[in-house]
Amino acid sequence: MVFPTIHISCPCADSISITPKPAKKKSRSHKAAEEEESEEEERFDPRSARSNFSLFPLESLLYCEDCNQIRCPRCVHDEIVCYFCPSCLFEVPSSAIKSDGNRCTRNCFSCPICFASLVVASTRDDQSGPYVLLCPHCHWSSSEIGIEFEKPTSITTQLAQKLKTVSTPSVTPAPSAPSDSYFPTISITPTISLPPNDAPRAPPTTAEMYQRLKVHYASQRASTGTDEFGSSNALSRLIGLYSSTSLTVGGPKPRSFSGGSGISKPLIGRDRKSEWSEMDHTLEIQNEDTTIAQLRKQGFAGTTSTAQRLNQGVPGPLFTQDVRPLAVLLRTKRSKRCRACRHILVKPESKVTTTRFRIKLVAMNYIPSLSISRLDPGSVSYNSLTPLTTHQFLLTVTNPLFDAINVTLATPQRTPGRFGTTVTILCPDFEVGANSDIWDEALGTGDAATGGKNTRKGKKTGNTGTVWDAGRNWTTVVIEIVPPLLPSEYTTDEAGGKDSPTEDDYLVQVPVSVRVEYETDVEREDGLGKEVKERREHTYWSVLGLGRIGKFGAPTTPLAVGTGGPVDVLGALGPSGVGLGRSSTYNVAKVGSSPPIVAGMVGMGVAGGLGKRNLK
Amino acid sequence: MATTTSGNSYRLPPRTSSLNPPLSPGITPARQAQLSSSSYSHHTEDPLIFEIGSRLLRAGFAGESAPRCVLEWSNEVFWCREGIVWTGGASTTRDEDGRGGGELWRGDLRSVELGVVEDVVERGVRMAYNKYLLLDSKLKRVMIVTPPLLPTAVLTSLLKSLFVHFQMPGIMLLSAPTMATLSAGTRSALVLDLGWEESTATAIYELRPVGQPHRTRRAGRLLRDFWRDLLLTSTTTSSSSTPKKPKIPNTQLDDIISRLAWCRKHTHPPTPTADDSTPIALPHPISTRLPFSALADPTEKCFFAPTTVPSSSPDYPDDDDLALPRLVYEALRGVPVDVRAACMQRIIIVGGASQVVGLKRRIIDEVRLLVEREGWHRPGGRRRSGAPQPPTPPPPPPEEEQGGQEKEVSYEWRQEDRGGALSPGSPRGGLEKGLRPAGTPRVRGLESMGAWVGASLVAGMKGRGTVELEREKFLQAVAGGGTGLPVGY
Repeated sequence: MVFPTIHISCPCADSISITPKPAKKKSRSHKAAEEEESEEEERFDPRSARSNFSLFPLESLLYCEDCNQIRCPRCVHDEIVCYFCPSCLFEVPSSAIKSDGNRCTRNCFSCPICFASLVVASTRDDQSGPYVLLCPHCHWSSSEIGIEFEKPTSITTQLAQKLKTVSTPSVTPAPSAPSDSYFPTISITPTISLPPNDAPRAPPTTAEMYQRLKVHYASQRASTGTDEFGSSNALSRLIGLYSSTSLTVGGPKPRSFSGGSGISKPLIGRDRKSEWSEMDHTLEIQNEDTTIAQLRKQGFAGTTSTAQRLNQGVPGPLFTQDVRPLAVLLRTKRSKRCRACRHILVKPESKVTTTRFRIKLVAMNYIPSLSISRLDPGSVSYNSLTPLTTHQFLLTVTNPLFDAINVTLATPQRTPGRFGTTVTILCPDFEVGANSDIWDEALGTGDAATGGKNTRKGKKTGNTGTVWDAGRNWTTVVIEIVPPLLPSEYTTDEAGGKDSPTEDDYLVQVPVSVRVEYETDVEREDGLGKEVKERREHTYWSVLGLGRIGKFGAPTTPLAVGTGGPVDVLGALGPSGVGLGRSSTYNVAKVGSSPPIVAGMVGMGVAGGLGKRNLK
Repeated sequence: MATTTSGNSYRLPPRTSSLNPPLSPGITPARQAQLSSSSYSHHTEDPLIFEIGSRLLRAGFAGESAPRCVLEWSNEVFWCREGIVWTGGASTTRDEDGRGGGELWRGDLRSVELGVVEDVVERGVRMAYNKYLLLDSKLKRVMIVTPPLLPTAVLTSLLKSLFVHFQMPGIMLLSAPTMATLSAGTRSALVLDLGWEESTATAIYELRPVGQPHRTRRAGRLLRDFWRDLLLTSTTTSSSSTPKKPKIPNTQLDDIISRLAWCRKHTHPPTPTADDSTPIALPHPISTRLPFSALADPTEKCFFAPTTVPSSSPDYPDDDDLALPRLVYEALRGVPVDVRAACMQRIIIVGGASQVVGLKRRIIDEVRLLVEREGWHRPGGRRRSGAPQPPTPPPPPPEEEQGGQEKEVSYEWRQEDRGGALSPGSPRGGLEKGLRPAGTPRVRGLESMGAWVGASLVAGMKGRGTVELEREKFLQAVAGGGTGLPVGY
């Protein structure tokens, strides 16, 4: 797992959750308890079992302008714009989708072993002769299952023909042309005493078996109640009609699939009613000795893995020698609507090859993005935070809006969970400048709103109540954590029982409530009249994954436990970093061993030196 | 309880003589399926069919021979936080080296967070829609095949998730055993469902469940536990120098079981023959070789041993620990005579663990042996209270004809039946025998295409389940604190 991580919680699960609270809690009309409960509800626990499903990275969130709400993938409705094959980019008309099995019917196949795209390759040196489907990744070839193609085009139709001859000795017959040889294993053999002497005959495939069942039930329904069911299904009645009239021809032939007909036909003549009966040719459970013998021979390597089997359809083959190349699944372009107000949030161009969007309301343009980096890069890895030591991080809030925003951060003193981490945000209330034209500041012209303040703000003292640094549309504050000491460090018992920390307990996840307030111009439809300012605010929970707690005591640094370390940390950083970082503007440079996560268009306060230099 | 029992939503289809024979006592009317049709306007469009189990999700279109996709709930995509590879999630690593894990819910609902069930179902169904079915969700009606003995709370959660997130207009419920019977081509059967948490044996007579399902905890999860023991002991003996046992991830264990598990024949001698000692190499974290015969041991211990837990009286298992042949036998004993006569020759074995090679045949053979040995009248006198079975005269005479000739007799009967039915001159004879098989019923297993295919058949014929839920009513009922399901479900 890569740290740091930043997720934003979409509250949609709460709003749609309609499960009432357990009656017990409600009836207990303790005021104090209720208050406590409501207070409890306002907190967000990143460790709760459901939080995994409501947390999303900012990039995958949308924003509904009408509801003024973020919309996660769960609270939007998808509508399909077009279907296409991801391999050949051929757009498939929606009428052909279902009958083709949602798969490409041209030459696109993926490997049944490793799922990479197969290529059509020649088996000869002169690029002629029989062709095979070859996997460029794992070198699986369709010749392994005995399939070669005469021509390199229209592979799908060729493959369908080959598979008919390979898999079943008899070509899959239409349901209207049955023959006795078609149902070889149906004959009721005494299952215990006699060995199956005609076992090698292949049992019917799934599709054949299904077809037989379907015809059976259709004929049943047609024969039992034509008056009853009326004209509900003319086709099945027609099938039933054929199967029952063919009985008069005589011989065992029609019995092979219309089991009920031999029984119900006479009754129809008598009172036009008959009982439903069971299909005559039910399949008895067979001996699987040959499969066991093959399993013994093939061993583990000769069998298909679960993923391979499930991708092969139902029922999947047990052995790798029975796999088939997979036609590529089609994909879709989808537009997305807000589930509450039905407004369109995302609408892509309907042409397959364009990547543009007509409408695209992503949350990144509406809510401030957070990013995290260490104040002292390089000294401690994110994956082993020393317990009981103060770690300082820089939390940068970047404003995508064209209005200056007021941000209020709130976090619990100790993170939820059995082993809480102590968290302190040194400056929880601050302002972030508007996302004005970047050249205004670079050229030094836009001094009205943002430019002047920034130089005053960026003091980098690390004192409580002051921001660390600020730029045109971003502000950085310091966040301090003290990870707890986990009990497994001093208990040697491996099993540990319930007290031993789980993997979850090792992760430092800090829930931060971000409250944004700003004033914006209200758009007036007529475009006239006085400008009206409207006050808006958002509040959302985000979860900062700051790292994993490591071993205690390995690097016993002399840094004091508590909040007293900024001077030392700065010393470790070096004077050049500080000097350059102060006047840094927008920059995306990565410095040292701790690359900051850049969520959206975010500049990092400390790591800014190189970007500035490159710009000049 | 604000369940909506009146109105059209749970309306029974028209009762007709051919479809609905008079109910005999002990037949529960719930969870049945009717092969009727009605002129509903929705019916112009085929519904979608979801089979939701605790391990798998099958989804596809009605009228097709196989589901379009089979998704495993153990897939980490369904559990992890979006945007990262979440190795430390709350749910994925639950009991990683302990017992269980990788299932959507478990029978012990105290340890299940139903909200998580809703969330995971949403992800699974969304993946099915977006990747395999390629549909806009809200347009289609949906049929859901539910496993037997599904906890009501879980069912409500599943339905709620579907209604809320996908806004289907209506959901129809079908019971898995009945559907499995249909897809075997019969109307009566004993369906043994080897599930994940538990195995259930349900008697189906004329497409109605008879009595309560019998259950045992010998199922997929127990099999995995035995496999884990087998692999761990084999690794420690082969390399005793390393004190720490390697952890085997559940997904890998599942994979190994699905590849290598097999079952001996019931006549097989317990001592391995020379042929069976073929070494089978196992992949990396285990990295050992096991004789081929050892790979059948977990199956043996899990499904056929008298007990699965260490006990002071190893020959007498707990009530929820019946071996599979015994479970089938008890289920057959518990139903009325006529039902038993119809069911004992149509035993259907479905479910995840039934994929173990040779297991189905072994169960059928052992049940047959058990019936031959014990008959239907147990001398101990420990009769089931609810069974309306006459104590002294044993029903259709398998008891009289025990021994070697019995199979031959039954075989003759089938042949005669076939012959009679086949001869064009006597259609009546074939008719009577086909409907009411005279003679000795023989214990016989039938292959079924599974519950999903059964539902596909029903939907393809415009059939309907008796339980049909509408979105608004259901959500109202759930918001009022009810289950949203009709009374008695």
